Amino acid sequence: MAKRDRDFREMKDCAILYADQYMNDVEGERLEELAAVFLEKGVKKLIIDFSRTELINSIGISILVGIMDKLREKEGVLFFSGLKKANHDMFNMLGLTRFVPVCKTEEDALAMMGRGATAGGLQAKPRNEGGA
Amino acid sequence: MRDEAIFATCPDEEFFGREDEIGRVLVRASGPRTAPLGGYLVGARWTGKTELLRRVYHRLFWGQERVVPVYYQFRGCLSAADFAGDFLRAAIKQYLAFSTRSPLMIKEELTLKGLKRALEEGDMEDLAGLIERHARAHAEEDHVALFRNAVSSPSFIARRGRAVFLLLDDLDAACGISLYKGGPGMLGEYLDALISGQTSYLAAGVTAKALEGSRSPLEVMELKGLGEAAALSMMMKLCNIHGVEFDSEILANACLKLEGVPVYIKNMVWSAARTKSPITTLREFVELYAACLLQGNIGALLRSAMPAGGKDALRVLFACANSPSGVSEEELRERFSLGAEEVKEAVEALRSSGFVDNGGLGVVKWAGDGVAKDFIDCAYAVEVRGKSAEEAKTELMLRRLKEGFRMQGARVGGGLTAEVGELMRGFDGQRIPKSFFKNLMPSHAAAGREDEISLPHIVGSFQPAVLDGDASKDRGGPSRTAGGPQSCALVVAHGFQSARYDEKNEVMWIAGVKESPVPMNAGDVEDFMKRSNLLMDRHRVALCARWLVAREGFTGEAAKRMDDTGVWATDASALGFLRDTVAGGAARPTASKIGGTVKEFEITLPMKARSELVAAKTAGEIGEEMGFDDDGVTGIKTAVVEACINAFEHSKVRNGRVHLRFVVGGAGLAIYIQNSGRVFDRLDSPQTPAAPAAGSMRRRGWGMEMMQGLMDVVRLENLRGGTRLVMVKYLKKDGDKSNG
Repeated sequence: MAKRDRDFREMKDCAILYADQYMNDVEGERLEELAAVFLEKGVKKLIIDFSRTELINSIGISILVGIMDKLREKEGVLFFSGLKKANHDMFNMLGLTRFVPVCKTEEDALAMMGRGATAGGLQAKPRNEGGA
Repeated sequence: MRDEAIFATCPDEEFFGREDEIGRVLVRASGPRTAPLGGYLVGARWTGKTELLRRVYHRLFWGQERVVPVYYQFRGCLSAADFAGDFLRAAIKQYLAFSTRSPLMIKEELTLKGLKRALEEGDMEDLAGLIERHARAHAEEDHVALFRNAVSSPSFIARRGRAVFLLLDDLDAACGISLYKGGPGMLGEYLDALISGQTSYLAAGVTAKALEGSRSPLEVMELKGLGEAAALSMMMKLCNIHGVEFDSEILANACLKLEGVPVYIKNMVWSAARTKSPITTLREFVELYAACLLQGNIGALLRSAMPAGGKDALRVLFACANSPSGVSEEELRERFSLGAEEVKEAVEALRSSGFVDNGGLGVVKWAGDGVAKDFIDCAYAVEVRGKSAEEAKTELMLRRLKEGFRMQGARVGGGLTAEVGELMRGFDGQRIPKSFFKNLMPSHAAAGREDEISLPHIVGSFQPAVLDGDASKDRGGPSRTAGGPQSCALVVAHGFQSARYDEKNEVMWIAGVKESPVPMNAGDVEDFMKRSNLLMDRHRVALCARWLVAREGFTGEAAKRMDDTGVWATDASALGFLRDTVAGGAARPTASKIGGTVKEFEITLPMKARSELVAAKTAGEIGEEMGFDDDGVTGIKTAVVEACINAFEHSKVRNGRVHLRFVVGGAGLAIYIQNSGRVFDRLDSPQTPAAPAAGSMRRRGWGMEMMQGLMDVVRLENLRGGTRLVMVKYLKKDGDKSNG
């Protein structure tokens, strides 16, 4: 049975973290803490959904990179979903999409995970499906 | 939770400006090498050598597995035997802690016997053998064998598969220890033995005296106080942390006086916080400085660093500190009626403590810093000359106030005044927004559109000579008035209000410029009014405009007085925009490219969390109005957010604000972002690191990259007194894919 919260949605072996409208240091740290909690619990498949997110600043990006690093250390799998096209382009420009697959929606991400993204999925070839 | 600070360090937020040095030492410690490296970090007391070595240790301990870091501080060892036991225990304990990732073991009070047991239980017979040999040599009182056994311990550790990097702190504290009575110091032999045993090290000390006797090649690195910018940044951050009210220009002055020495800076701020003293004026700083030196921690630190030697040592120090070329030992003997041996002993002790150095040919030179010199001057006044502490303090404050005043004058002298003169020379009938001038009252200037004025055609500008009745006459300069350094310099510009060059159109602009880092007050306005009236009487022109410019803005009372009298006002940050608008052409290259100005908007943001969103919202609405699509608007908003964050981070001015100007053209949008005075990141800043290695992403430095990726033009412009970021986004023409 999946547990739902406005900030995250937890399933059996996977969790979806919802980023807020403005991805800055405060929001980034919240996501980082959430990610750490799930990792601690042994949930190693995470999706960060940006469908509510309009603006992302450089500090937010740095924290996302930190989350990516932590997932890599723990051999976890990370997906991004719901990115606006402008933010998706920015992630592309900064090279983040080389390391994290980006899906249109969280459901797409879940489906892709189910299709067999394995530990080390951060290095999986990204499937750039464009923004929402 | 791992214990990051195995050896105590200051909190990260209070550590500044040594990342380059730490990086260099880390490369030295863990980089590939074919031969062992010796290094010596020499620097005055309290420049941060211990902090640097300990931070290197922590990074080596947690950040890699190839090299075993061993930190050893030479303190409290009275003999070679003491040192041998202490060093051997430290080296083995730290090796065990590193290889088992058990930092707490370093702090455990283990005896050599206990260590030996642990080594034997861990099948490390080779290391246990070192302790066995130590015990044997100790029983036989063979100090040379004890010493050589201890010094060989890093080689034994290295034979177990990992190289050792030694961090030897306070090396010169062991200068006096020798292997046998009357023999030379042991340090030379110690350092040579390390190199011949293939052990690399970085030692640190106050003087190079510790290296005497060493024949191995080594690299000497000097650690000085923090640079001006790093020291100012540190002091401002500490003031913010500890709730000390400050003025950034006064802090800059303080950092120069404290020579960027972190311990002095910290103690000053702590003392200000403890006594609830602000550092907003030169006088407040000098009072605090004198108190720290005479009754506070800085004085106590300096006192503890001075060797025992009573008045003789103080006399020698005073003589050296006040003689730029040094004092010969002979002169010291004659001046203070001391015997040759007494002088030699005093000089030797002072040299070991780093206060004096050998200037060659028997000359003793001062090697301390300016703060130590002030301390010595005060101590000499009280202890040798018999003055009271209050008298010594008063003398010190007088000296420092005079010095600080000169420094302040040198820092602010003329920059803004010259800029205003140059700016007025560029007035040539341009139409500019009224908003550049507050209190714009005179009707003659406001012909045409209501939100614009026509500038006059200025022929020339100059600083007027001393005026009759001008209080500054007696104070040595036309730019100083009754208010002393806080009053205004006058600049007069002469010309015509229109291109009709007749008497009716003759105009004079009188500008009063306040350079000093305090806001213009009502007294300054009064003073300016009196002096400008004298000028108007003298020149008798048909039209006259009076204009005040202040580096730090205006007090409420000054603004009211200006309202009453119709004096215009501009602060320094708006002056930059005014200059660009007046200059046009080269200074405003984006204007033509964006198709001529259609509209302009300005906003000023306080440096508060999330205020960048206000700028982003403004940018978004302007962008939407101009016809940018959703992605284009989001890109502009994101770039504006980044520019604001950058401006917040890098502004070093009290009550800082960030000014944004949006210039809407037919072909695009130009955005100008300026903070109150200081720098943005450089576009090619080292903060923007190299491309990430495969599988790993860098952590910071995305800001400029993001702005450059999102906007069509991003560039920095250097202005007098600061930097401004300019970003342009073009509207795509018909046939282009989109306006994003």
